[in-house]
Amino acid sequence: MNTNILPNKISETIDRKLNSDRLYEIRLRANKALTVNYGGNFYYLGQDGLCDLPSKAFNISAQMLHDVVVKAADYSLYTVNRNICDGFITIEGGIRVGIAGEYVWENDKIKTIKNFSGLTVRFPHEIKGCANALIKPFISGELRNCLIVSPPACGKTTMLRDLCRSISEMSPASNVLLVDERSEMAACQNGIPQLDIGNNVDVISNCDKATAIMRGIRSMNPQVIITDELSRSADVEAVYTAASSGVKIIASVHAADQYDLMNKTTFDNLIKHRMFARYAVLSDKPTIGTVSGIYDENFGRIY
Amino acid sequence: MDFTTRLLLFALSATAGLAVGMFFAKSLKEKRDFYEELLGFANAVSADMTFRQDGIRAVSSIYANNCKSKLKHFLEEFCETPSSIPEIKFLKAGENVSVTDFFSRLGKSDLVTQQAEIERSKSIIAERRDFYKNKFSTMYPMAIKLGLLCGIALGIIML
Repeated sequence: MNTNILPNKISETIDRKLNSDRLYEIRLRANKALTVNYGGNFYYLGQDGLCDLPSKAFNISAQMLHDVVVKAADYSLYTVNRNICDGFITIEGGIRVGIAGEYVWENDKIKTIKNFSGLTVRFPHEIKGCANALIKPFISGELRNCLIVSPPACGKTTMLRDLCRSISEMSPASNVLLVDERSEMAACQNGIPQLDIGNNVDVISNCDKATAIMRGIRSMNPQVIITDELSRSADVEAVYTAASSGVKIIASVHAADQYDLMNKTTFDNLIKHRMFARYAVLSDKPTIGTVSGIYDENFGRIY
Repeated sequence: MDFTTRLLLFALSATAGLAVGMFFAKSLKEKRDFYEELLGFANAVSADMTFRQDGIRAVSSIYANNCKSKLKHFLEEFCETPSSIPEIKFLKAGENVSVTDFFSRLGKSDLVTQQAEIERSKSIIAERRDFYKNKFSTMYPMAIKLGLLCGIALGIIML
């Protein structure tokens, strides 16, 4: 696990004391104790490992936060200014560093973030086979337009990644276009995916979904488009246009469940026109990545 | 001492004087070349910021390959560990500070701030480059002549 962006003493403690398979997040806050999400629970982290008291944990200074961001940018902060304005940087291995701080505005646009106040370092976990429960309902007979509905931190990105891998390796092969706006699913470095997304996949990363979808259809001629976290009207419109041209769409959306999805007006058209043939709802009970229900285009339960 | 030996001593003395003169002028040439290439590097970083945005390491690595001055080794070390700035022993203390300050700021700011810092540094580097360029163009011929004259004088004395 790549913890090189962290101060040496913290990185060494993580390597010595923690199991990387259970480390999901590290949270650094200016002049506060270091916390980690380990195995789904939050703990403080000190020299001796996990602890319950902030007084025993590593204290994070404002300079440390700046140094971590500079290291995450590979000592070239100017190359990730756009990502910083979006609030996060994705680094080698698909690790996402979320940034909180003081926003600097110019002409109603975000120019940069300065005086970092906190960082959230999220570690991706590839779980091959986690999407097996979705393969048959999504693909049996023919591949359908499908939407994964999930609250935050329930494994939808991990699930989508596994779906991408499975679909791209099916026979007969389908050309998949993966629209990876935040470089989380494929985590490409110099054009090479750091995570396993399968063979027959083209990746467009670091680009907004609407632009990536419309250009990707014209340039890469995919049979399937996979993308994470539809939210803006432009995203939904692009997906609708793509589906109308015969491309199959597999996407995800932040929502507590199917009822919460129905309340999102942005998705009214997609739901009304039954664009998605399958909806899969995820939950973190009993564990992250649990498929709590699969529904058809009318939200009739089929699983 | 026969005439041939004296002539040989005279020639050696003149050559030694010339070599000493060239040695003193060499450090000026090294500094001129260093600042010339450093200015080129600053321009390369500036261009990267407005176009490809490949990053400091990439620019340093590519530029170092084409360097001929002492900047080459410096850039190779800097590229390896950008967090620690190598020492520049052949520069004066004040010059050392301004160059290490330039490198210590690289990659640590947002785009607009970094562009402003680079422009400020470029004017300082250009000023040092011009200083050593002028000094070399005046001192080099003088050093050669002085060295040769001293060598000839010593040769005459030995004769």
